[in-house]
Amino acid sequence: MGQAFRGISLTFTGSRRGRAYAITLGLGSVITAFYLVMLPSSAVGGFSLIALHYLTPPLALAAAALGYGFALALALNEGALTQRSRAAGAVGIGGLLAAVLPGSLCCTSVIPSLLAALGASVPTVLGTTGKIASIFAVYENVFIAASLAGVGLSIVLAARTCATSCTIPPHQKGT
Amino acid sequence: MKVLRSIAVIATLLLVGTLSPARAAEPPAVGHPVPAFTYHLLGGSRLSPGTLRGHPYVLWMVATWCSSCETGSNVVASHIAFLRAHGVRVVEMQLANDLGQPGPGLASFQKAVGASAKSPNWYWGELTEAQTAALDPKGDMDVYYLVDAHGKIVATSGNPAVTWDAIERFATAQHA
Repeated sequence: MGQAFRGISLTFTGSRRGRAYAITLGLGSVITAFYLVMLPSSAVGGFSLIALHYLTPPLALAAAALGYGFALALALNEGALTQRSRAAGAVGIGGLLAAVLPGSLCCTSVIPSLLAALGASVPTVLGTTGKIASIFAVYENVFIAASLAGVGLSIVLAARTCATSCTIPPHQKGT
Repeated sequence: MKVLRSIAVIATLLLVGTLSPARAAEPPAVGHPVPAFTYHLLGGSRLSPGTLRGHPYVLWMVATWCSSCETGSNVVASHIAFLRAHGVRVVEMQLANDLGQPGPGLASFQKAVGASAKSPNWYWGELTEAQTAALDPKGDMDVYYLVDAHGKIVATSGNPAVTWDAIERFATAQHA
């Protein structure tokens, strides 16, 4: 864990700290704004600004954690001079996508349309849609928790990589 | 390369599926009469076409595990007196078997909205499989028909929590 904190410290005190702050605050604000609407959108059946009426404090906190957390992971990765953590990027993006699933797949026409497009008959669509779509409704909080865990893990992975890559190795100094 | 191959397979399946006969199933269209079904209501009573004849109504189909359907019930509850004043009835029907995954049931929605659920212009029931296939063959949830006093479909939409304005305009126009 100490290595992760060192990575964060190096990123925000090093020569590229301006870029790190810009990514974390700028991109973080954009992603947070998106999730402030996206996370409560399952309550209104799709992405809509009206979803803001159903934004609760826990969802707002989750949106901020996802937005600024992912941007922080990206800033840490960007700060690496010698090598970047591909795993951190993949886990972070996976986390962001998982949080989108409940709002876009529960209570919308995506699942039944997909089933119909795959050639399912009407009785199959009517008997299967609920089995799939309800997962995103019933386990919405689990998806959000998994997203937060994914973004958290991406920060740790990126920070640990940065701890060893955000400084020029001693043997390369002066070369 | 594997990713590209997977995308190609999915795209092919979607294309083939788009051309399949399953897409031929279409719900009743705007301008056409809504099917004259007798609906089974919660509590065991029935709602016949004769009871609805001569009254504009919202025929709304929900799944009870669907969070937007629950939100929509709360929105309708807050406007049910307005609809009653404009002579508009709400027929909120649970889709057969909740589209394959039983939820908590429509009674839980009634309980959540409180006293408004007992408004005489709000009917609660469950569609049979045949009614679901006829009214909602695409398997969408949280969708509704706006039906005029002659039983003709004026509009279709979904998510009353988002589209309440359309229902309000319908009620105002039918009352005029």
